[in-house]
Amino acid sequence: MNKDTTVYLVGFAIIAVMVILTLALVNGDFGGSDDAGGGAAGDIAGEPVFDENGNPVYAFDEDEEYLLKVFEWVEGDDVYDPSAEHETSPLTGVIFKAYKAQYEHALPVQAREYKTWWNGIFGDYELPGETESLLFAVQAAIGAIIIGFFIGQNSGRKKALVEMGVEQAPEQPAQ
Amino acid sequence: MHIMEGYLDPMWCVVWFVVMAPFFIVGVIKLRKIIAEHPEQKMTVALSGAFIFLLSSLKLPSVTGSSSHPTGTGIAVVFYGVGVCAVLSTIVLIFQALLLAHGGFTTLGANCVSMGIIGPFFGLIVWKLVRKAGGNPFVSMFCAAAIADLMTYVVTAIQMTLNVVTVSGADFMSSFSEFISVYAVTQVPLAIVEGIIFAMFAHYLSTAKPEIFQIADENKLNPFSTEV
Repeated sequence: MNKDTTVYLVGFAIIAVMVILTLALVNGDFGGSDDAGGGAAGDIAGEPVFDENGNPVYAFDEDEEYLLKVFEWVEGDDVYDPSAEHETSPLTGVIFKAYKAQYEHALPVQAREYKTWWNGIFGDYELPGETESLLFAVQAAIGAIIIGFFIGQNSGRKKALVEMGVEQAPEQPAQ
Repeated sequence: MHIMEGYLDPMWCVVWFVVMAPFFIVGVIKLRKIIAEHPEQKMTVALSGAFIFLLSSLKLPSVTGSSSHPTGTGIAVVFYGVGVCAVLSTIVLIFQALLLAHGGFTTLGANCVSMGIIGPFFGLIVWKLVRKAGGNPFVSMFCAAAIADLMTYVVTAIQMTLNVVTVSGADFMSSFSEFISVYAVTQVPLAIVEGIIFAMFAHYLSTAKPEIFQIADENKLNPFSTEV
């Protein structure tokens, strides 16, 4: 196995391991809005998320108006405490009321009814998942075809130059 | 990763378009000069854009239902500078905003500034530094691509933070730490992956087309230079 092949094999192996580890360790909420600012509003809002012990990681306040991200679950009653400290969400500026008795360090993630001021040229219409995948595949294919063409063109050019005796193969990497 | 349609306050949409405009104009001028004066480089320009197309379509799920993806701007900025990188990134961003509802037209300026201008600019600085320190294309490209990717996300977090600070009076540091922590989990390994991809391609180029690095080494750090 020559040096070039080793470099590519090791590179792809590291990439594969890192991608798998990232997917495994992130434990992300899959699917849905993929834009910055859209994830929390679009996907988490609606249903509480529970950790492996059955404690809520995300939950709503009493009126199901604001989404709370629970950093630490504290056993006890769940009486709403109106004297709890009021804080402002850095994401939306929405003032929320914390359940002091139930959640020790509750923090808002996003208001449930987050509204953008414009929904784009397609309005509320959302592409079906299959169509979106298709279009992302088209985007990737455009890039991959051009890169493949470049590599093929170079390979052909190099082969022709070697056959004509203009160039010697293989060449050492540039420093 | 791109900031979604309608998320930024209209004032910030205008600000980021104004910031983007001069870089974009310089990029168009430079691109036209490259095609007119060095038609043999058309394929390399297309290659630079192709990487942005390919890598920015490879999404990984991130925390809170958002997603992260590589930016692919390493080769574009190293070979042709910030202006051309801004133009190529804009093409990809328009493609995604129009067909995929990923990003948006109102946030096009902000997304271009983070992905096509400031992030890659840091990558270019790193490329120049590592090359000056005697780094080969493999190492230099790894550092440039990884830093360009990471800085893109830092700039995105800053843009969103500025938006909530001015709109709702939120605290800058707590907002910034909240935004940046959303992406840090996936973006750090992704930046390393992107660095490896570009480093491998730089290794390929250094054997298949070593003369191409002359373009990169002659490329000016000044983002407003139209010299080709």
